[in-house]
Amino acid sequence: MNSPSLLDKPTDGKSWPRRTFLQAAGATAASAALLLAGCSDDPDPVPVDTTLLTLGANDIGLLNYAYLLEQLAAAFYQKVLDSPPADLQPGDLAFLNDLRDHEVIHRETLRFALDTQAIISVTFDFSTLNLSTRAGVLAAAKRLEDTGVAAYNGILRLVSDATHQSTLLKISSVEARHSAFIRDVLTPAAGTFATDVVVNASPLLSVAASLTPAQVITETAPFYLPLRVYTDSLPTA
Amino acid sequence: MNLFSLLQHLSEADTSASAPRRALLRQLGQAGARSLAAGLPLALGIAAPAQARTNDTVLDAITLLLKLEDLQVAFYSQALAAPTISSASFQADLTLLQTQQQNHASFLRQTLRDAGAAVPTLPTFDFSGQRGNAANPVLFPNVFTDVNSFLQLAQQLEDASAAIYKGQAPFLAGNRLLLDGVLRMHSVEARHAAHLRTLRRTISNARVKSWPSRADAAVSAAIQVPTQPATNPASTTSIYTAEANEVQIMSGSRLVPYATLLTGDKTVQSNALAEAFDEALTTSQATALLNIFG
Repeated sequence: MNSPSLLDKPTDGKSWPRRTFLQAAGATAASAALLLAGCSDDPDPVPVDTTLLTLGANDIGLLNYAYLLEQLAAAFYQKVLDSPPADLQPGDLAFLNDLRDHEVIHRETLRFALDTQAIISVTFDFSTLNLSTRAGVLAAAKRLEDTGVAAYNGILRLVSDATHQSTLLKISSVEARHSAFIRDVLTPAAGTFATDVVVNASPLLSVAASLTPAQVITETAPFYLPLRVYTDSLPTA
Repeated sequence: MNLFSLLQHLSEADTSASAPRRALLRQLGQAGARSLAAGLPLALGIAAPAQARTNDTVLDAITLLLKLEDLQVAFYSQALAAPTISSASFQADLTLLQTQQQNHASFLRQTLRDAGAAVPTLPTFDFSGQRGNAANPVLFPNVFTDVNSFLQLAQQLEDASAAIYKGQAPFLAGNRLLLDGVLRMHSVEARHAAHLRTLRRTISNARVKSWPSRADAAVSAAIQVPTQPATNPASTTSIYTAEANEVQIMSGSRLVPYATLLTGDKTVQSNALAEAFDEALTTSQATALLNIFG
């Protein structure tokens, strides 16, 4: 399906059809209000930000945030498996398939949980990563897994629904295993499974590093381009 | 595009837990406070008969987690005092693990103290399973004299630790600061568990993944916990029985239809569904496990 561009004004002088307007923007229902503000009977619609991806508020926002990160992780491993580096070692493809499978399952679980309130399926841009070598793939995997774990740790306490929290907790536990595993693959001789990613934050001791959604989105911003992810609506306390 | 390094973020002051210690504990001392997550049994993919539900307080949960951490401290301390284990190639790992478990125990113990709650006496832990009584059977032979036996028990204890934390998390739902600390300790336990499995592969040549999998080779000396839901007569099962679960239920009692979702380009390997989620151990299972050793 060709996505209509907002620059393609209708030539009959009528306003842009509302439904097509939303398709072009790739918006969620939550951000529809922003776009509809520019969708009037005026034949010249007000230009709106078509690159903004909003996650929503409360538990839905938090689930969409997790869903976005699982989309990112699944897309990353799928891309690696679609074009694996030539210097992979025996056993690498097996664990890359495992990691990919887990992320796909996480992603589909969250999409099902979100139902009609799920954000779009994002097309990711991995051009800033070097995925042509084993070292490049592992470095990227480590960075993504570390970020994902810190992201979950940043929001788990904020989830209101007990079932949602339990599901995210079970997923986050596996992501922590992924991170430790990749670190073990990268540095088998020296244990880095729980070094710089475990921090003291008085009065907490030896706890997992934690990042806010804003920090995570900043860290991963290149992957969403041209989209920009809006996190201000998420719970913070 | 300026890519911020993750480590730069990590080194910045963490403001999420900067509240005074007493703010963490305001519900700990409330007599009779109940914090039961009604959705928990369904989310675990197990049925919810009456006997599977507990009414644990925040105090109960912290006390149980403290015993768990004290057990792990004792485990690594005894290992580091044992010539065979302390001279193994992974000794630095044991020191790191011991330090982190000690830090977890310190935080939990201080949490109880600050709340004016009773701090339990530190038990003497016996990792042979004999509970200090030579007349009892040895459940875990050669734990500190054989590296492979040590690693088997270490893996189980770390896997169980992560699962026990998950089982207790719902009882802390009313105290977000405390829950944040506990869940971030849980995350570290999951890292420990993954690494112990790496060690079992590299040191013991064991066929295990870094996440519990139905493809894992069985351990020779298995920790046994009460079967959940409870059976009549009562029975015990491996801590890994729950990990084979493939049922996930979302809020609103919505069963995730994996058979129809994971098709086409979303097809996964046969063990992946059970692997993708780490499951919880219940309070009953956790208490039984802790009682095996102390």
